[in-house]
Amino acid sequence: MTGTLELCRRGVSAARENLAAVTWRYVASFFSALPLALAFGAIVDGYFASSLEAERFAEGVDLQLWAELLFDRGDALAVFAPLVLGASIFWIAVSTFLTGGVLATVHADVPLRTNELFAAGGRGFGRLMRLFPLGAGFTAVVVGVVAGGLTFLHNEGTEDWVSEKGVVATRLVCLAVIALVAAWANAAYDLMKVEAVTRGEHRARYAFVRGVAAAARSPLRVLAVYLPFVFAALIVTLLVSLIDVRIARTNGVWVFVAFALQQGVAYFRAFTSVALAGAEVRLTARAR
Amino acid sequence: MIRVALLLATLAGAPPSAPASPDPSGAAPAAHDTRRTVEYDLSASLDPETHQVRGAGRVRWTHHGTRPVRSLWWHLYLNAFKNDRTTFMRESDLGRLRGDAFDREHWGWIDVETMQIVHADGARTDVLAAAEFRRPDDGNVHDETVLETPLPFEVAPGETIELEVEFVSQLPKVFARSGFSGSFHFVAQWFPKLGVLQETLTSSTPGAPRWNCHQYHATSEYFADYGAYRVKIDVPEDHVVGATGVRVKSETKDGRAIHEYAIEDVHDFAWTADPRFVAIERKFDAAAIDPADVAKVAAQLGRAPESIALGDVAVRLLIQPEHAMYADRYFEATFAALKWFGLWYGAYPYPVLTVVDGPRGANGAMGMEYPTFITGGVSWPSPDGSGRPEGVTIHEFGHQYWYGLVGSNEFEEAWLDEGLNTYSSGKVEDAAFGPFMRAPRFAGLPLVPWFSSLTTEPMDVARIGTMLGGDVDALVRRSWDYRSDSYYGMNNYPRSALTLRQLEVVLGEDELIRAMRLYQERYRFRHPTTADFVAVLEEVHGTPLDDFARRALFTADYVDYAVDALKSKKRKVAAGVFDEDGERRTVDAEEVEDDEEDVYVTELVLRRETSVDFPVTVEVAFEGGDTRRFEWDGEYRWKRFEIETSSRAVSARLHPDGEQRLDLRRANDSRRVEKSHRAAATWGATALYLVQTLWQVLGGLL
Repeated sequence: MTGTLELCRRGVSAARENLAAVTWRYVASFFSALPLALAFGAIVDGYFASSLEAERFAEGVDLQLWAELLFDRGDALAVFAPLVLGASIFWIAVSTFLTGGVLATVHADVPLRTNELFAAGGRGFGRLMRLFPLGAGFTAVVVGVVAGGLTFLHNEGTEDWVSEKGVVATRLVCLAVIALVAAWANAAYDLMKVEAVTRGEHRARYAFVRGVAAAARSPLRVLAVYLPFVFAALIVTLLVSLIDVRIARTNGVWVFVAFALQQGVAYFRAFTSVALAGAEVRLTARAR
Repeated sequence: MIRVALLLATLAGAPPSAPASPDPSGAAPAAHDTRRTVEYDLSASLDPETHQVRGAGRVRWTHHGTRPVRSLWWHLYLNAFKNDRTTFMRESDLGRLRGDAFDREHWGWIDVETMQIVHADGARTDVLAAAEFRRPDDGNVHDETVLETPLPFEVAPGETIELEVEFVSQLPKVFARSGFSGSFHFVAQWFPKLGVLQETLTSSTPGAPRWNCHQYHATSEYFADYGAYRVKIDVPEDHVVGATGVRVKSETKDGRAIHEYAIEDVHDFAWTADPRFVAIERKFDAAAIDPADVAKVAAQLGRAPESIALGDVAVRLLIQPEHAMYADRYFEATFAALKWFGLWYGAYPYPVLTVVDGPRGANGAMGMEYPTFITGGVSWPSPDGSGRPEGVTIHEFGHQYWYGLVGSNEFEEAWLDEGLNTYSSGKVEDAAFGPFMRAPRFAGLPLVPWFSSLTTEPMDVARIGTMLGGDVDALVRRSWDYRSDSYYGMNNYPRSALTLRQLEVVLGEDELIRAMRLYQERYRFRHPTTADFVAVLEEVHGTPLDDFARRALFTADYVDYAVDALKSKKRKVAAGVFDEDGERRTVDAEEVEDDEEDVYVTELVLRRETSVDFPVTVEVAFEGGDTRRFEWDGEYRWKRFEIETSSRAVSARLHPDGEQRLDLRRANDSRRVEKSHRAAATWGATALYLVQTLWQVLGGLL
């Protein structure tokens, strides 16, 4: 336990020492999301800007106004599907590039400058992209099999149950198991990336095997390092969202306050992802 | 007092013999009162292992028409679940309805084993040998839900014919209304039930006698004649039973319990049995109603408060043990419905009401209505304010009035029960509960902390539903003729309710209540049509409403007007050559120092977006707070107004007093001169954050 806590602490320290990496990760997510947000904002603006209902639409969720928007602008929103696909591909590329830089940064004994961060990202980009189909495929297969299997078993097993509480309880247990398996598979993929970047493993299949092997050797330890960061991001997101939904955007100041709060959470999540990378790099180093 | 005496008499085992309800309005008796057209004296024995009901008994039918009849038509509705080629199954996408799927391992059917005429001298004549299945609606040869039994002799007007029947009803697994789920049995449409003999095509046009006996359709199941029922229900001793009517007798023998129920002036009979039920009984105490509410409704109706007094009702809730914590909410909703429906439309005339709460897996049987017997429905967890079970309970109780007491034809004009009921149960929700929360669920748990403020009122639901399906079908249509069951639903529930909300504006709320009460009183225990309803509205209103009816009921389109443009600018100084007072004056605008006058010219353009035209009012607001209103007959596709004022226009709004509720879109009902980008900023920022969240999750995964 002490070792795990120490790993987490050192991960956090790595993120604090490399705020440039954190910031670039945040900035990348911001600008990758911006086109979609602007497109949606333009649709909303076109529909409501001239209407006296604009304020009401801004200040809360009005189901009828949302129904009108979706009903009348459904065609425009349908354009989002290819836009989201394109933006996702772009984000995968940007994220992969930054992951290489972040892993190199948190692996270094001293903080890297921005140009060094980008240089490291460039060096690891090819390896990580080759690893992508293996790692993402592994995660998808493991999570898909477990989630699909458990969902099937749950539906079949509870079909004749009368107790709704029992069904909800077992559903939550299944979800927890699926989440744990997803966390483990994702941590395994992270370890593959660490192998590829910090150990300089060019060959994707070897990085893949070593990552899976490392995660399989000590799954609990891997989860113990992975989950605190995910929980931190999740809990902060949920808690802030409780505040967010209670902020009535009655004027521009409140719109800005809510925006700042949301972006603060986004920055915090970028921080936790860099801290997690730091902890996983040290986990791999210790295992060796 | 009559009701109390009746309750005491029935509890003591005597048959209820008095009419269930005196006519509280003093209105003239109906010309064709269908009461006592039928009498059913049946017994039913449930085998919970095979889920079969073995039934037997006598049916008496009195011919109230004017011409002889040579056959009887029967509903055999359990045959809808006999195979996947029945009309019901075809219409329900081969067994998918209201989110439920049919279990193909448990088919349902009804076999009539014997059917014999019982003559006065005790002799019997079989009528089954010559019987044939009829398919009056679609000719589907696989549908066996309507049976015609030719008679060996004519039944003359005024005569009563008595038949003896034996039948076996196999319940399907609950999919739509009837069936079983585990130990829960919901037994509806379980016996051969006579159709309705009609001699009029409309309320005023005579025609040849015909049996109005439709096949069982996915969207509708009710149209039958009023009469008296006496049913003995034989179940295992540990089963708790609820049924239409008053329990007049119970006895146990050899591990079985036989409960006898009786009721008059109803047109159907359903029952339920489940050993898991917890039975809770409470009294609806009419004396506990706030006198101020009585006085308010009496004033609306223009009657004395004493004349609308209600009676007590024994309410029995059969609830699943796991839902026991929702019992108070069931009762609160039921009592609110008894109170407001009673005050508005006349006292509930029966001494009892049974409310059934089904188990998980029996969703298809929930949200249903049968005389004095309704099903609610709730799933754990159901937080306060979520409207379950309140909304469904109020709605199903409302059918006691619109379907039960006023027996309109659900197959041919479903809006007369579903629409009137959605409207009036929405009014009860407004009066007793306020808006309901619509928190979405994750893994079966409602996300209340995030969505507690996400609420809808009945009017919102009506508008949204109408928007989704109001431009495909006319509102008044045969139930199976809608483009799909979704369009049936959207027209007969929300769109009909919205139409009645608009009638509140046209007639005034008080006048509409008076009209609906008169309609209820005049057509209790009868089978009115849309024409009858409109005639009552016109009678109360004093002027024809055919224009409104044409636009609102018989048009496959909805109403949508828009403020298409609004501009307000200072008027330019006039330039050019002017002949004034015998002199010619030339003004060169470029030489005028200030080329704008202190007069604002506002251009307002209104537009009709759909084919339905109604007159509209628009209000223009000006800087300084002044407003001006303009009327438009709405007939041409658009209308321009030019207004000259000393102040600049700020905004324009259609229907400023909410006088046009059928106009669906709120967003285009108003326009401002200066745009507001707050909505775009708010939701653009939120979209940014949500996509960032997605990216960061994917970034973590990838």
